[in-house]
Amino acid sequence: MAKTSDPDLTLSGAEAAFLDDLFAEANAAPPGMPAGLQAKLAADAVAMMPSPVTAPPVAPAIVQQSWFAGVVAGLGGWQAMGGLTTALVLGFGIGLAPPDAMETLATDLLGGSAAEQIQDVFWGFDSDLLEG
Amino acid sequence: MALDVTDQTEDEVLLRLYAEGNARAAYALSDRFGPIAYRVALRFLGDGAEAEDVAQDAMMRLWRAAPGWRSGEAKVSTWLYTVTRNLCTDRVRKLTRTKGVGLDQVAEPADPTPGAEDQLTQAARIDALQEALMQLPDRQREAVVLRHLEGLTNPEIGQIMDISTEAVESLTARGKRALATAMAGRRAELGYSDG
Repeated sequence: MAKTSDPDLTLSGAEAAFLDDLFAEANAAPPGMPAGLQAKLAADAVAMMPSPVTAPPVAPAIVQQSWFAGVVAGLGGWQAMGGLTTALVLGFGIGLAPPDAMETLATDLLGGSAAEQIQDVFWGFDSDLLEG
Repeated sequence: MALDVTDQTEDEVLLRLYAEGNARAAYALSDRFGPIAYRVALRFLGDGAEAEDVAQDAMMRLWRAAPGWRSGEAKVSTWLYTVTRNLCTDRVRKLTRTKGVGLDQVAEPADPTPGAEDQLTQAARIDALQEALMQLPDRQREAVVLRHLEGLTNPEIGQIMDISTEAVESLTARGKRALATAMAGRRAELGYSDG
């Protein structure tokens, strides 16, 4: 007996064996392809096949550069421009309001009178800037 | 690295080689899967010309799917069974809509005057089985064919038919019951003794 959960569907031993024999015979002799079908399928396969992958030659990129970018590049690139700008701002700030240490350093290095002369120049420049 | 195409080359590898433009993979795939598509379509539809069209259509879909095939998502064979089944279902619907009959209704009826017993061959038994299969409702026939003639597991059939494993078991059991009933009167004619 080939049992199932539904007794109405249960096959007798003879019925099950009969079907198993038929299935086995059908499996042993599967239907062959009609003449020409295999050739058609192969032709379709080749016709639909993507072309072999080949990488296209890569042309060197042409970069249009602005005059400003040219100047930046000439000065050493953006990193150099950053350092240059920092030095410019710091120098301008020191020029406007020199710290006390600067005066002491100038006096030590140059002597009293020379330092005073330089200080006078700086102060005069400072006053000119502030007063116009 | 260039891979050699042999009978043992895995389906997915063949498909990838095909997508890369390997002609040997194209021939190997059509040799491997073309007969499956045709055989299943013939057993589902019972009509050679229709089965031929379905097989060609199913394989064309495989060629189109190859470049975008995602490895590990589905077995190539399961995918092909599913596509072939869907194409067969579409054919039956179209025929039913245009002519008002299903393929199983236009299939050749059983020969009422079978030849002598000594002329019965394996081919005659296979034909009788196919005739009985064509008398089954479509889904029962599909389940029985995939289970007992294609040798697929119930979970695989469930995936192909988009139903649960339990539903597959039920369809198969009902299909076999109906087959046994349909074939009962032909046991002697087909060379089987009553038992």
